[in-house]
Amino acid sequence: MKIHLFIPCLVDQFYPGVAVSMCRVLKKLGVDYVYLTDQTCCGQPAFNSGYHREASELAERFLEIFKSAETIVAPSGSCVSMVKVFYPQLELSPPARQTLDRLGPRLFEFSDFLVRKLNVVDVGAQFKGKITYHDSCHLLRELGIQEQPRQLIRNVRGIEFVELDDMQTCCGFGGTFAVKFPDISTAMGSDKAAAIERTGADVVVANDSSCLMQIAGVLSRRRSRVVPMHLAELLAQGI
Amino acid sequence: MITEPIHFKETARKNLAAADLRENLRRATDHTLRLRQQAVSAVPEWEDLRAAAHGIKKESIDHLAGYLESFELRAIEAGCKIFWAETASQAVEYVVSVCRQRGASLVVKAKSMTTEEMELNPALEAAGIHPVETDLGEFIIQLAGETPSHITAPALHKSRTQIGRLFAEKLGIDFSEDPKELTRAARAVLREKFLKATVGISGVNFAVAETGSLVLVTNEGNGRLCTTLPKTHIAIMGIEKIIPRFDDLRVFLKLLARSSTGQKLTSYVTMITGPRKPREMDGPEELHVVLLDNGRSELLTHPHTREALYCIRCGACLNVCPVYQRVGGHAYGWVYPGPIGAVITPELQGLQRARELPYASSLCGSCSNVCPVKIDLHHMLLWLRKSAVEARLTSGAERWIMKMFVATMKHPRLYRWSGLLGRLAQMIFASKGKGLRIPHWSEGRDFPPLPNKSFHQLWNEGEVR
Amino acid sequence: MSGPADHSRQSLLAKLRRLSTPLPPLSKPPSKASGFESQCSPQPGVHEEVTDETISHLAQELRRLGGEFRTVALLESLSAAILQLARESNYKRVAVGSDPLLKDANLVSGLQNFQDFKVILNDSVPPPADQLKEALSKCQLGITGCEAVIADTATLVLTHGGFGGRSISLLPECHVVVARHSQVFNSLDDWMNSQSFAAGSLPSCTTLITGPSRTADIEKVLVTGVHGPLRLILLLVAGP
Repeated sequence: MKIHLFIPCLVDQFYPGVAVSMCRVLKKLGVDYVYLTDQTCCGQPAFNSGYHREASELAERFLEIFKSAETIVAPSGSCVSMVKVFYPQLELSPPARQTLDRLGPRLFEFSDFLVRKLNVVDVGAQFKGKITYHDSCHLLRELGIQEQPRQLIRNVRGIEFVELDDMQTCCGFGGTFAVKFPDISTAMGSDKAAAIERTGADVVVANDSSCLMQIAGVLSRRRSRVVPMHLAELLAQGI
Repeated sequence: MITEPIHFKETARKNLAAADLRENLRRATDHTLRLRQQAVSAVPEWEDLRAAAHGIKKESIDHLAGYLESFELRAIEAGCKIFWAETASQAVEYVVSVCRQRGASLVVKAKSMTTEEMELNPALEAAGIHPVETDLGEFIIQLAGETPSHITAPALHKSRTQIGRLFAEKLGIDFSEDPKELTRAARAVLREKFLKATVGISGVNFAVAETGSLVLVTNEGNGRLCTTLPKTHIAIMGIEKIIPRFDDLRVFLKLLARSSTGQKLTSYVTMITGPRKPREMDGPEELHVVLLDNGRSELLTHPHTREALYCIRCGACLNVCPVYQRVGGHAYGWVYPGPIGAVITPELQGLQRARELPYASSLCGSCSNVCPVKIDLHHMLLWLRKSAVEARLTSGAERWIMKMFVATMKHPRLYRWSGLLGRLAQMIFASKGKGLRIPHWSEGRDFPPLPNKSFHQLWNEGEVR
Repeated sequence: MSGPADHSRQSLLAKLRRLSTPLPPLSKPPSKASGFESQCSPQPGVHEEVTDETISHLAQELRRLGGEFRTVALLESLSAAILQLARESNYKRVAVGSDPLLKDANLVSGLQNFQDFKVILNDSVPPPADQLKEALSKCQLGITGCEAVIADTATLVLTHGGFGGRSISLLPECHVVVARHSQVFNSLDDWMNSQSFAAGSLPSCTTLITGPSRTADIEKVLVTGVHGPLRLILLLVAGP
């Protein structure tokens, strides 16, 4: 099987290790991948701020780049929901809309791709430590992905999994919300960090680098010993 | 009617800093959510009920004129007087004139957000008629001279100590922090009012088109007293409160109680069809029903937000909203706070004045997820943001940033250069191993350091193929 | 209807008509007319059998809500049970509704034999509303029958005809509802299925009562007994 990688701009610039880890897991599972180097941003920041025209321009571009892809996989629930859930709300040219209709069902978030498309719940990863998991909002409520990451985490050898209090509560990132309302955003992040620390976990896993950026930022400010980690990074441990 | 812009951000910041307010909010919302969760998880057909309720509300709103006319016909047959008010001021004028004609000097009121929206109390006061709020939470708020901060629990921002002090000062009783004692004190004061008042004013939870019935849902019994003892009952309802059939109530009653308080059924569900009938012993001699538009019909023309008219005012979206939980209801600047307020305040009071509200959300979607009638609240906020941009209500700086952002993202080379630029800035300005300090971000959190190479570089160098 | 009122009606309705889809014309009675077919509810059916388990669930649920559940074996023992209740709580003034069940139980004469408290009731000459509310608000005990008891939620369905109307279940400190075993339904759906809610046939007021009045407006602490009765007691008559 050959897939196209959709690497969101945040991952590309700040967290390339997440994408590298994802590639490593895919390779282990015998999945071929290609990376189209012209890809940039899916347009979510513009869309979420109400700039639909600007977002449409980036959507058109995204769809043009990926138009011949058979399967697309991305390590982000948020960017996947931008394409699957929010692109249909944009005004798009007829060819772009056609591409969207074709690509929508072929675009997968990473954990969902492993579990539902490849039927893999154990990638053979090993990690020693106590792990907790934060449900990213878009992943959970726009895409309905809740069990897939948990199944994958539970099958990592050597880990102890512990659920987080209020695991489904937002970490406070919310894209431009984090800078428009920094104090509310930080208050939400601090509560999330406190809940994470209460579990006694060594590692907090999430499936979206944007949430992890918020969680890591707050944990780091609190000089916490808990390590934030993307699911792909955890699954690449020991393989 | 609000005339000044709502300063959500400013109030939110102030409220965030008030530790006792946050504590009160947190305690109340956590508690209510826990009860709601228990009640909902005991109903296996919960999702079917939500879907059914959404369907019934859609039907009601799609045929709004027809169902309202049917309601009017049946209600008149049952002996009601119906008044159609296009604006809040028409409704207020009508209510005041009825009270005057009945020579009322004292009016008892059951909790009604619609009358808050109309600003009825100040108008009654101005006419020399004393309105007494009888819901305990509203009574507290009225004594304190404040406005409700929640649609079902108006005094949730207050602690028992604050309420104890308020009662001691205003009611002249001994200070107590015991909720039971405070409740009994309010009961004693208000029982007198109930027995004296000549007019009772209530809201309406559901109005049944098929039978002309009004349905009121209350826990304290004040709704029953307001609609039983005074000679005149005035019921005020937003036109969206209509449901087609009596039978539909079985769906809504289950959803409303569980969503708002976690009860299986609210203590009192009162179904009123007309005033007291000739062979009945009590009940009001006349029943006026005010059908209020006040901007609601305008929402019918907005395809993306008209479903906000499906709201049954359960308050679940407030309780679950991580923003509401931290800033409280008053930050939203008008009667309806939380996610539903962030949608309907701009729609009913103008996006111009409420321009900050659609952004007062991290778009986490919890509100849509708990809504018993499946209103897609957080997606509506996105549509309102689009309207704000189209109406040029966002700042010039933001528009410029977005333009630059898109221009950059449209050109891969520009995008990569800006990545390099960021790395350069980090080398110069950030300490080793740390990220840059970003305005608005770095006050409470650290910004992640950019790694040496982007994924794009690693790919080109063949490290991940 | 005065001029301006008629104008606002016409103007609002015209706007709403423009913005909504018309309904098929109404015929009388409307409950079966098109536009009113229920989309979501189960079809009316026979109500399910009520078992001993149902009754014990009802008792448990009512107690959970802060209500009280008592049984009497026979209708004849109702007076004695109420007398005992009144004595336990030192209730001196009692109001008795005019429901057939209460008449069958000879409750009035049963209670009037006792000199130490005052019974107010009368179903022959209703007092004026003002006097009624004064009298009832001085009563500690209000006794009524009911239309139905819903076991699942411990809900008592009252329509307010007869003596005391709505106030007898509202103003006294303690509300006692007397019901027969045969009036118990399993669920709200069961009860609603057994009724027809047609226009013109409804009493001015029906109340579903689920537990004593309550509030959690102060720090979410549950307090029972706010404006309505402080106590709610269901007295279920088991026998014929």
